Amino acid sequence: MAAGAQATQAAVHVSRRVEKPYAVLLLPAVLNGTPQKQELFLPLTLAYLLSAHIAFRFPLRESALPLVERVFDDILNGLPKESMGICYHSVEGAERATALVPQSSLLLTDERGLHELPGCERLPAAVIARSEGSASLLRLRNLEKIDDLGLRGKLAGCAQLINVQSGGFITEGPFSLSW
Amino acid sequence: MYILGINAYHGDASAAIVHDGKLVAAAEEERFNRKKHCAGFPALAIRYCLEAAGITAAELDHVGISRDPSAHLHKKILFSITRLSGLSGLIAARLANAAKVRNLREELARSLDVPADSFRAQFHNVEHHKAHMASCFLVSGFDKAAILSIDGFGDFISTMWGQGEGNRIEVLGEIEYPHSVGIVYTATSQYLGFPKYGDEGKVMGLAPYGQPRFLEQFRDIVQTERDGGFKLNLDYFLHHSEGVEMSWDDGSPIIGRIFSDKYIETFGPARQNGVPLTSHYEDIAASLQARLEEVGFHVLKHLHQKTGSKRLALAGGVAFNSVMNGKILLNTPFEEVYVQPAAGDAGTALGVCYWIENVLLQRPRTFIMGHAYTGPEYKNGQIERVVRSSGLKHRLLDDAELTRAAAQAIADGRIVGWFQGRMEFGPRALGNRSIVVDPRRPDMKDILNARIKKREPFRPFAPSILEERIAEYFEQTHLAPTMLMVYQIKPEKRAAIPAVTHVDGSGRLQTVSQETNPLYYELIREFDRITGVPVVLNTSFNEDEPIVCTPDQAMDCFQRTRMDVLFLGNYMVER
Repeated sequence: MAAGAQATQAAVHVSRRVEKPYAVLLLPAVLNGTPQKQELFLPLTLAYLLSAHIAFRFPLRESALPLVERVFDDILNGLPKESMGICYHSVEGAERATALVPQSSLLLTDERGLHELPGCERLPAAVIARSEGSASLLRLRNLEKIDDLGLRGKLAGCAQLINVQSGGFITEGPFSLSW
Repeated sequence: MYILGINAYHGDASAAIVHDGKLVAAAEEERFNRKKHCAGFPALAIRYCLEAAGITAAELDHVGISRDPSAHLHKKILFSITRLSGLSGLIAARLANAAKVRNLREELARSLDVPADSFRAQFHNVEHHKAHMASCFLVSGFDKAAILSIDGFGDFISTMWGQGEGNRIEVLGEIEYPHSVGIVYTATSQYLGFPKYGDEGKVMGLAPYGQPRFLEQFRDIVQTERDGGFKLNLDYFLHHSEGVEMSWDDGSPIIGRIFSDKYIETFGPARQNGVPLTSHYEDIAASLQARLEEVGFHVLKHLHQKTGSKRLALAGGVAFNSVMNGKILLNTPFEEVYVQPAAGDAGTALGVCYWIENVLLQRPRTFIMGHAYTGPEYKNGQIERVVRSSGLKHRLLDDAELTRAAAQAIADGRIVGWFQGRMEFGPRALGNRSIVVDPRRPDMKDILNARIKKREPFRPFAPSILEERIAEYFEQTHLAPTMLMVYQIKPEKRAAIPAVTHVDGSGRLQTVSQETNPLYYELIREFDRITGVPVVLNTSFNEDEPIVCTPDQAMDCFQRTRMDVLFLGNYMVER
């Protein structure tokens, strides 16, 4: 694996050794396509936040690594180093990537990733989806199968934050999330 | 092609509608539902816009809102999860209070009482500050300009700057939450005992009474950076650790406390309501204003360096700081400044329309916003009913008689209600929903306050002046048609117009042109013929409420207060 940017390594421990249980970050864009920087921000942010509770395995093509590291650099700038690790797995095809999934404790992916993973319906999963207005949503599945209450709470919290923002409106008072 | 722009769930909810590039109508929700700075969904303003355009919602081609949930989403999530005290705390409590979450299509359908699938329009989210930037640059008439949008916060950003050229807006930089000069102004206003949404203008009016002896402390509170940006010393604030609570129970926004105890350690006890405004508090206001100007000019000088432009388009709530605006040409290399009349969040509805029209659809820029008269208007036939039912003495006059009678009444020292034409968009009454009096009388400010306005005595009233006479009365001559510039009044003229001369010799002027408001222009010209002074005192037509919109509201205000005479359309109404 090519060496990552120093800032990334300083902020998140990135290594090949990951202890079970583990989560998988599965993004077809970094496996099959040409990823755009903007589309990586949300999944990588979620992976970083959730990695405080569970180690991640992140399959990707080697050619996508520089962009992934640049996005991590942007995300992690000045943030606390609370992470159990996000481990890159260099793969050249979706098949090898999906082989990591069945034994994982959590799958973080998008709708396209989910579509490419038949037979994983019972796995706890957080799926980044798009609303009609192209806003991001986070759909959670089988959350009750996650034993770690901290991880479960953070997933639920992230989903609420994202979905309230993406819904955009709170029609009856009194509070909104104001930034 | 019809485009509807909406500002919802920020202060000053509003709507605007554009037809084939031309602005047909724009108005704030508060004018219709009578809730000051209303922050809900602008259902009534939308209905008005559709009515003014003569269409139904089904005929809209595009609908946009000045809020993009996707913008900086990961930063919002990161900030919330890593810096706030866990989701079981404040955020969770807020979320629990969120009774309903809907999308724009559903919300619009509900507000108009039509099925959501009846719209053929495309729906758009436009990032808050991009909407601000569009709202000033795209209607400025400038082909190329530097653009600055600066306010409290919107979509996680407080300040965004860039460059506009033709149909393109390029963002060159931005300042993220929690750093915001708008927040500093709001926090200090709260500390000084002015906690309401929109009270920042009072502090701006207070500042000239003080000396900026706390400037060093404010330089610690807001620190400029070498790249043209700035950051806050967060020790002074709560918003980054507890969030900014903004609620809008029954419409009007309420903002929770933003300043931390560090303000109290630094400046002493916060001023409570009713406590006299001593020189100590005046000096704090003066220091705040001085620091705002320092930071503003710092940002603008860097923006000029980056863009090389001599022209500036300015928007955002901080662009209502007309004292700072009035000094831009004196303190930066910019040679022209355009501030759109609804520079605050209301104007983002307009910005959404032109972002869609010019940036997304790449249709040609054909519209220049030269005035703010985009609200409802009422014909004499509609006004007649109100006048007759009042039972008051009234006369129907032609335009020439009307302006002569009004000018004479003003010159006679009477308080004149002046309700004409289309209502203004933005917070300033610009001669269509105004109370107009004689600026020559030193006691007129106190009379106005005692009889109608009930404002704090330190707050100044504004002059309207014939635009071609500006050089006689003011040190600067750059036109100010939207009353968003404060200039120094020439020393030799201050005694001539004492009611509109602030304690530091300044005045927040409106330059009035024959082209944009011929009736109001003629009123001032008549006043000049009678008195030799081409200036009147112009204040908004209201009494601690949103500016009046309809003839009924104007009549109600007239009868409720001690106004002397009301010119309602072509009707002259007296008690």
